[in-house]
Amino acid sequence: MNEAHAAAEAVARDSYGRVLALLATRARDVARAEDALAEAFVAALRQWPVEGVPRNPVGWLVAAAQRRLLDGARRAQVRDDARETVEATLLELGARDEHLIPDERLRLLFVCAHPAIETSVRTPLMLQVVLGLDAQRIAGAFCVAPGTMGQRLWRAKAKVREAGISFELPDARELPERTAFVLEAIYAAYGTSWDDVTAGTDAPRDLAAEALFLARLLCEVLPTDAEA
Amino acid sequence: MQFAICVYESKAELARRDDAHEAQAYWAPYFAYSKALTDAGVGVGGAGLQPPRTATSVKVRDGRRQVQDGPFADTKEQLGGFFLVEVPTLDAALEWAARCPAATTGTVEVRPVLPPPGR
Repeated sequence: MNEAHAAAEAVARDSYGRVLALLATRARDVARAEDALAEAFVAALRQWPVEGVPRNPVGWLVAAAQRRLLDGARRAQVRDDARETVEATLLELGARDEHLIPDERLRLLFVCAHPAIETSVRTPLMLQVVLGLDAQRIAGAFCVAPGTMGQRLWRAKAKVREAGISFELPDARELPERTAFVLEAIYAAYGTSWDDVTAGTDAPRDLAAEALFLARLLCEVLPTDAEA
Repeated sequence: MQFAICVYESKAELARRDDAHEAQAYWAPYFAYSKALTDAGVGVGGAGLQPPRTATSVKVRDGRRQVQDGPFADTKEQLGGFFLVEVPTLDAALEWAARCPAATTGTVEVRPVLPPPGR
């Protein structure tokens, strides 16, 4: 029982952003991917204590969430091409090793900092979907009511889906401008954390650490960008 | 996905249509743009609109029809027409929207078209 909980927690802590990024880029829908992943975690907490922790917990969660996305896609008759991609990935992933799961977090960073997303919500959106911070903590860091922040995040994710924002990486011509938006959102996360310090709260250094993590992630994936 | 590329133009820009010396210079980029959309196989429809002075607005309240001279809202930039395009993503639609002649003189708004009912 405890072992199963610990395993699920470890995946949530270490791999949330990676798993969500994979699911969201395949489904081209952040909100649906989050729901599917949450359901997969619920299933894991039910099944793992009984059946034992799978050899590859991350792969198990990805596959379980993908199945849910696929079911949802069949029911909702969402765009055919998106459904096909989910189907293909599901087949392709199977019981693969964890390190073979592609890292799609960069694509997700670009979606969160897309110019079609309202400027003020880009940083909170990144913190939630790429790092898995909950709306309450994000709301605290940005000094707004949790309900308000929850609503802003929800609206932003609806915009991603309904406006047809691309999950492809921007092409070379657009990349510098789009990277600037991503960097701005990361700076904002870092800046917000220091605002908190002067305001005398405690949580802030965490946010600085998260911002640095995002910055390092960006350097890792965009090693040639001088600004990063 | 289908997107509407809505063209908003200033009064001065729209007035070029009525100016004998300017009309050709005004329309030529739109003809070229329209052709580019067709040639790329992404243009699926659209229409240019007569200027806002020709607009009539109507609403029905308590079963009574109220007809009024003028466009819905008297804003600085007015809807001059729209193009319908079929492209995979918003980003591709924005790419085309930026090439629209009005993008440099007015504002171009991009909106996804509602899917047909029953989907």
